[in-house]
Amino acid sequence: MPDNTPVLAAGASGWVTRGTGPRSWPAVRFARRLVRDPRGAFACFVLVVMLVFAFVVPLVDPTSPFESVRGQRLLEPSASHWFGTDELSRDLFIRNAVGLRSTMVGGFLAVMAGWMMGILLGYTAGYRGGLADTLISRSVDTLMAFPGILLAVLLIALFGPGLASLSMAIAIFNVPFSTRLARAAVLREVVRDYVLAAETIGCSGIRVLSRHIAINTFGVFAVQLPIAIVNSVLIMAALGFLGLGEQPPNPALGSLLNDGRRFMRLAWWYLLAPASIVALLMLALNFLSDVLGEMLDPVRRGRG
Amino acid sequence: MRRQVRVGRHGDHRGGEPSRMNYVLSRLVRQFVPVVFIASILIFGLIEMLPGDPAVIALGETATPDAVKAMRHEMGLDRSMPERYVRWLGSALTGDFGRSTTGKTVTDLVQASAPPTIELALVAFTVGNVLGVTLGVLAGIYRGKLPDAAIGVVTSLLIAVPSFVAGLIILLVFTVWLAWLPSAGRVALTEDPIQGSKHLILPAASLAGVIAAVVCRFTRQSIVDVLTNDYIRTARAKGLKERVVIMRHALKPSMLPVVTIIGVQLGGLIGGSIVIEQVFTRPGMGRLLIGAVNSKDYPTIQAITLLLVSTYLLFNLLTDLTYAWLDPRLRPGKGTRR
Repeated sequence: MPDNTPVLAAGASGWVTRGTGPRSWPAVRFARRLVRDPRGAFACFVLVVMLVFAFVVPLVDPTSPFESVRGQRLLEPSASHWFGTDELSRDLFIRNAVGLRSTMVGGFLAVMAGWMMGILLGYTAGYRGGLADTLISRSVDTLMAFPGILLAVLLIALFGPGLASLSMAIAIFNVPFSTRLARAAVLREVVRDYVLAAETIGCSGIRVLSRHIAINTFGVFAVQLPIAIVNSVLIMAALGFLGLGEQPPNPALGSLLNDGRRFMRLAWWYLLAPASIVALLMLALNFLSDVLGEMLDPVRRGRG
Repeated sequence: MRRQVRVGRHGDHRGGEPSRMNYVLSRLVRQFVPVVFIASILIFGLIEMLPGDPAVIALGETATPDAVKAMRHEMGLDRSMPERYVRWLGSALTGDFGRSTTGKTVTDLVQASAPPTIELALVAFTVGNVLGVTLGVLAGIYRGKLPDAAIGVVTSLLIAVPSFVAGLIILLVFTVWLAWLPSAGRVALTEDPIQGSKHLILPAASLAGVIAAVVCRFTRQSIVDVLTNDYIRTARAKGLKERVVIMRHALKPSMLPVVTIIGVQLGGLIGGSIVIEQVFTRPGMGRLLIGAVNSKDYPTIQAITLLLVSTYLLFNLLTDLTYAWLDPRLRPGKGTRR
């Protein structure tokens, strides 16, 4: 497949690559278009830096995020401690790195789990209709009645604070929206001829959904998923800040913000580092989702 | 049915008073009440599902079985779950949410913590929307020019950076570095307006910023869309001043989509104030809720969640009604019954 798609795509969109170099792959062209937008370039740069910071630094840096060194309490940023130290004399650079990693991994997995559940429910509701649809839709309506982070807070009240229950809460938080999205997408597709054709030749419901409808509804999710990730990372940090996420001594972005808030009069760097990381990360994710949205959604292309 | 149509009781009055009342009532009965009802079951049921006997928790592990039994009877735990739910909801409707684990009644706790939150939400909501609409109209009028670009940059920043992180940063700047404003607590505006606003300005600004940014984006797009209409061209062609064109012809229709987004903002405002109160240590409902979650004070959690959910749904309903009132096409009795 990858062999002939570039040719087709190139012909259709007027992108003719003449003799000088090898034909570029769709992924490469996509990345090039992404970076050409200043917001996209900024987002890619920040995200790469963040990913390196979160996933490479903890592997390379021998400093332990839990180790206290006597007499190094609340030190200002310096050559040996780039982000300073905290109230227990731990190095904040490595703690921020590990904290960012835990928030990123937790947030991403939670969104994926929530969306898988939501998409399954939405497909079922949209395709089966009837009682299944009523039950699922009404449940989703009820969950949607909880404003903002209230649902997540209520769920954590049930499970007890911690990274696992926070991720679970984020996953459930993602279910209502993805369910609605999937249901609406299926309802749009189900009336198309190709679905009728597939059903006529005897495809089972599961096959029609997974092989035919799923592919044609994928675009909707591709546009909305980045936004969901943005929101979930945000809620993850917010709930962590409220003390409902990862418990000490494990670092997470939210708990670093919380501790930094407590010590802000003594150590400005303690609060500023995680706050800037969250701010930059959210800025990058937002820009990325904007640019991706414009690139993937032809209606929004060139508007504004 | 036929007779009614002929007499014209339900069929054909256009936006008349009774039919609008019907619309309000039907929205209230068919959507608001059931969803609040189901949400209340959920809030009650989830907490009920928790492991552990509240009577044992209240008395401590060392309590004798007899004492636990007496306590269970006193707390009504020996009744069936539906019965307990009905009793809980019944007393909740009369404003009695039981006793918090701190010993005070939940109603007292909520009454003490509601004013700071309402104050914060009202100020943030008003400032955010006024600012957002004003900036949005400006950006829409000056589309593609410098003011538009400047406003665009500011709004993307405000939308992207979460309000509580922005709050933490301005907290650091204004209370620690510049030391202009107090960093914690709250003074009622009615008691001491100057001290009160000093405590209110930073949290309100962090919440208002996001609202203003979102509303501004919507207003701008809406103005831009409306300005492409033929009747705007007509208004300009007949020689009206641009100011009149905007104020008389473009503003009202362009506010339609904005009203929806203003309503949606309320959900964010409720969630946002929970976190923002924590950032600025403001003794409101958000702090009460988080404190209750950390100390497993379930009656308080139930009460606050139910209150916030009902408020949110009520405002959603009001938004829909405002929308129907502004947009004649959505009014009932014109073929678009919903």
